[in-house]
Amino acid sequence: MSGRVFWVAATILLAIVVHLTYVLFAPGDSVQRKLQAMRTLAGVNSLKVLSANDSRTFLAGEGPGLVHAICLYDLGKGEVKAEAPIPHGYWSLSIYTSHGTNVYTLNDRQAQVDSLSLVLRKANPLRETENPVGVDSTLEKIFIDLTEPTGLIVMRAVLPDEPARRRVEEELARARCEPA
Amino acid sequence: MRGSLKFALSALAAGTVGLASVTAAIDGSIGGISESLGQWRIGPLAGAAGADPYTRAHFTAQDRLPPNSFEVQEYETAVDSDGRSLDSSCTYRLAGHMPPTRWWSVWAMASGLNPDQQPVGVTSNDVVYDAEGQVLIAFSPTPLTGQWIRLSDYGGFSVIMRLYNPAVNFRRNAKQEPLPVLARVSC
Repeated sequence: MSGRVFWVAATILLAIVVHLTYVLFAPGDSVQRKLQAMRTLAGVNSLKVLSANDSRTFLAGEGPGLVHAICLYDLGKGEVKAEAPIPHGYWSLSIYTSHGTNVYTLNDRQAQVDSLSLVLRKANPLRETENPVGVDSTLEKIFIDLTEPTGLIVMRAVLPDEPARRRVEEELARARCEPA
Repeated sequence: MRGSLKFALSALAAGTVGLASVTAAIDGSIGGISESLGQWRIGPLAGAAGADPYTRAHFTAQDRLPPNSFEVQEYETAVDSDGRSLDSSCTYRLAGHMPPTRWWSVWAMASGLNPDQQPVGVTSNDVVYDAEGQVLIAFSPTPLTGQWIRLSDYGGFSVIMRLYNPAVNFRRNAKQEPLPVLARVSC
């Protein structure tokens, strides 16, 4: 009887371990694999406008009707700047950490400028601010303090119709992502 | 020998139960990772730094990056208006007023952990509204007149509705606002 109790308890315990291992580690692993695949396509600290097929492959969860540009940032060698002329129509920019957390998103109306300038930098405890986003209105730049040195910038613009794809891609391609 | 057999059976049962329970939790079938609004579910913490592991796993298991819920309100349903699981061999109709938002998209996506299935759908750019400003979108494996989203041989599937830059009033009162209804037409 005690042997049966032991095996039942061991099975339950092992099931809990399997459950928790998957929940805690699979998401991070999945994002890492996605970013690695994107890195192969787009390189690091450079902007890549995605074809329709690449958008479906890498950003399927965004659904139809959007054109995307991505930049895999790596702050290992210093700050990275992202500059983007903002096209007409809905446009937004999101910054994800290497674990898939969305740390910053801005759309065209919130930006209130014709051209957006962001500087991504490592979070510095000496800056003594809890807000990871700082705006320098003199320099017209937004500073984003990131605790993780690598991650992903996604820019998205609405595709009004398929014939407009080339134009929208060209508008996104005017953006820059490079070491500061 | 008997000990080895018991260990193997225990490991097999544990693996099966562990994976089944995690799949159900990630899918939202059990646990509380999402809020229900009629047939629709919404993950209010999706994309946030404070998102729980199940919410994160829900998106990454489908190879998706979670949206920022302030910028994008994402609604998802895997059931029709009568609570039956969606089946790609059936025909469904999404009808009603779309919430006030700058831009939206609606698409079908295979359920479960299948990131290989590409989404198909429509956006506010290509949908046709009726005289009362409502949408009428059919989901079916066979062509239908009007706005039609083709269902591939998914088996079970989900419908996702994304509202980009929704109106502030809607975002504040999202739980009280009416949403389009996805109903089964035939099967």
